[in-house]
Amino acid sequence: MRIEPTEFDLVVLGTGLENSLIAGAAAKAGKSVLHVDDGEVYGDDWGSLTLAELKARLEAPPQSQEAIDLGEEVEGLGVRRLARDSHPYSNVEIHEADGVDTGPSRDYTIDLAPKVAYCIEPLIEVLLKSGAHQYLDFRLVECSYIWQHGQLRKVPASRSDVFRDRSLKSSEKRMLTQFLKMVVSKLGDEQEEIASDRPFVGWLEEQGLSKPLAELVLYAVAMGEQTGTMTTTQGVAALGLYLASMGRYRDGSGAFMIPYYGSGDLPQAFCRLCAVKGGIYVLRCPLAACLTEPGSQECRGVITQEGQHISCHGLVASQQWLRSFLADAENGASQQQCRLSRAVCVTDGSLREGESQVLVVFPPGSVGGKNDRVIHAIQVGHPVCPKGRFLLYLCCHSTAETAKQDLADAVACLLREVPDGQNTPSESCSTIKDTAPQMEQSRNARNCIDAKEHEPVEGTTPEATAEGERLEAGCAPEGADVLVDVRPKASFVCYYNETVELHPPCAALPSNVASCSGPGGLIGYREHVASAEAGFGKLFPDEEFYPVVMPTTLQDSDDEALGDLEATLTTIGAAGD
Amino acid sequence: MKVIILGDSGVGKTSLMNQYVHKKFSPQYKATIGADFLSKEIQIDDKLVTLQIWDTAGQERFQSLGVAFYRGADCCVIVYDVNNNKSFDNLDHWKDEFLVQAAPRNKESFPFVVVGNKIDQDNGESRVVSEYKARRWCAVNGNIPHFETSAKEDINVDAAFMNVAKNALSNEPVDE
Repeated sequence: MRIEPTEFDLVVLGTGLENSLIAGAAAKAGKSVLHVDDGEVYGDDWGSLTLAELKARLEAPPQSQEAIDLGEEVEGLGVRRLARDSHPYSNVEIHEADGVDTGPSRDYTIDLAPKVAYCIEPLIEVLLKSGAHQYLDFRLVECSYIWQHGQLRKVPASRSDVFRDRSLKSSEKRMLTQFLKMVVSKLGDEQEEIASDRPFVGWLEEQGLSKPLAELVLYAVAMGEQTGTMTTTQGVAALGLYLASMGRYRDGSGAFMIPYYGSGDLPQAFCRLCAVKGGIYVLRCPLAACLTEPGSQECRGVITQEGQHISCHGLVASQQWLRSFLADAENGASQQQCRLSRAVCVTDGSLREGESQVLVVFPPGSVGGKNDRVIHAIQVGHPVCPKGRFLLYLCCHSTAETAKQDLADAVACLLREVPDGQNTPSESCSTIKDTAPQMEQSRNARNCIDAKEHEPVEGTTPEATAEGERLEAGCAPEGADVLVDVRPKASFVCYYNETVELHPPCAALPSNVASCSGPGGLIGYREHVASAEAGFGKLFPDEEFYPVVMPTTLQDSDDEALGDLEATLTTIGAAGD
Repeated sequence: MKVIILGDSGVGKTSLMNQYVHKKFSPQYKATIGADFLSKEIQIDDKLVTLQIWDTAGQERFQSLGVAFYRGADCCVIVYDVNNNKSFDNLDHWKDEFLVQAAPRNKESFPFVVVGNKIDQDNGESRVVSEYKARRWCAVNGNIPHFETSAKEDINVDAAFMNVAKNALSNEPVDE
């Protein structure tokens, strides 16, 4: 199979999101692009797979290609091997319930990189500007929850939500409404007054928010990932993003949405965009080597595994392919990695009846004080799995040795039965199988533990009785927002760690080579769009990253595109079906 | 309704779309650049239907169409060139590929339409795939409707797409 033509402005290796964003942007800018991937399907570590493919992918690394003999020099150019010698997944544990039929593997579209997008964030703007939104449908995340005091607590998505929320005391409602009003007004003032490097959490408390409310705002609105790391400036910006995203596509809806068929469709949308602009696509096409200019090490071409030489003026590849460039970079082993713990569960019902797309935030320490970092969970339903079933993804930055140690307790909080060999209820989240009163009781007991662990907050007594009374009086009336023992069961659960290689310092790579990193956590795409834009800017400093193309006027086209997306969203609706 | 057009490179997929929607034909073959999808509203009985016809954008050249392209299709048109045996032989491949990738619920009854294009070429002198042979393939594969067209001369193009629209409409699930 010969690739024609044999000269390109840009060769992109790997069809992850960042790679595909750069490929699409380059084609839009009129560059000739060859985009290859060694896999059978699009997406690389960003892809979506059937159930069977997921098991295979996690357990067996993609076959490492046979080294072909290339010599050290080709036509005066150096030969630098492109090889992916490591597998990003480790500590893979797959458990399936005996005798439960999860349905045909093909009916599952499981994301390797599940994520929710803010309704307003650079990715959405790029989709609209580029026209790639036409290839995708989105659905809204119907509700966010925060795990507090051993139960799911709804994160208010609108002012009326705040008023309706029976778990909030009236003083808290006032506090929260006033606080949000204040933030909105400050955002209008260009943040002058609140710009600060002080920890955001301290600032929230200064604003008079009670501890549970401050926690709600920090983790479930500002989407903070750790207690002390977010500065006030970052926190307020994050609140602004969330508030702006809220209700963008429907009144009273939350801040997030998710591609209809999962995140794995995003890279494909940008690949199609690139193809429409003339980019050439070749799957199952590993590259064996990159040809480099002696001295500058700039990329002049690539050699495919089949031995074909292709000239190019720039190269983009996932970080894991570019090791050989970094090995002799002056800043040495500056290879940065982060490690994520992930879980995928197939459940027999929704976390909340009547809702399909749901986001859950577990603040640090909320899972029996054991989780040091925030754990996020996303639930999605048909059509990414059979009707009546749901996929539940969990993710956090790993602190324990294995993903299962990091996440099994959180999974046990949400699900009634999990076939992971940990059926014994963990202390923190005892699995209640009997009656509701017992569940109440145990929740009270748990609150007692929580209250002791946390510092006393003004106005609340950290005593079990007081906390318990409050719960019965205010937080859990008539089982309204209370998860009773109807939690779904999992018939399949899979835990794994993913090692994500982060960007090396730009200078470590030749001037016409850009790298792409793997997927991060579950919330938002900002860092990936920023990284793709930086990579594109490095290769094509004179070009704009997805400029607005104007059929008529700038305003019109954007409005039109926005209108399109809104129409799509409305027709699809939040409920999916 | 989403209609996708499959078939080997160079059989005239983009030309058929353009002829049908824009009534235009460009004699130069450009390995599809800029073709995305085209929309056309048509009246079928008393229903106004919008057909969204998706081109492969050239991604078929190296067998690199992604699953997102196939998803949600209501009808699949497979095009071959009557002057090219290989493009006809590949009908099997494209049909199988579609069924695997799109994974429609009604595998047996999913609406395909097969189109043999370029009947005008050399006044039919260079034809290698007979109508009989093509019809036989279609009959064996579940009575797939078959059309012979010329995108260049605008022969039978409307009729083919009208059939596509009717088939796509019949595939609309009743309960959704």
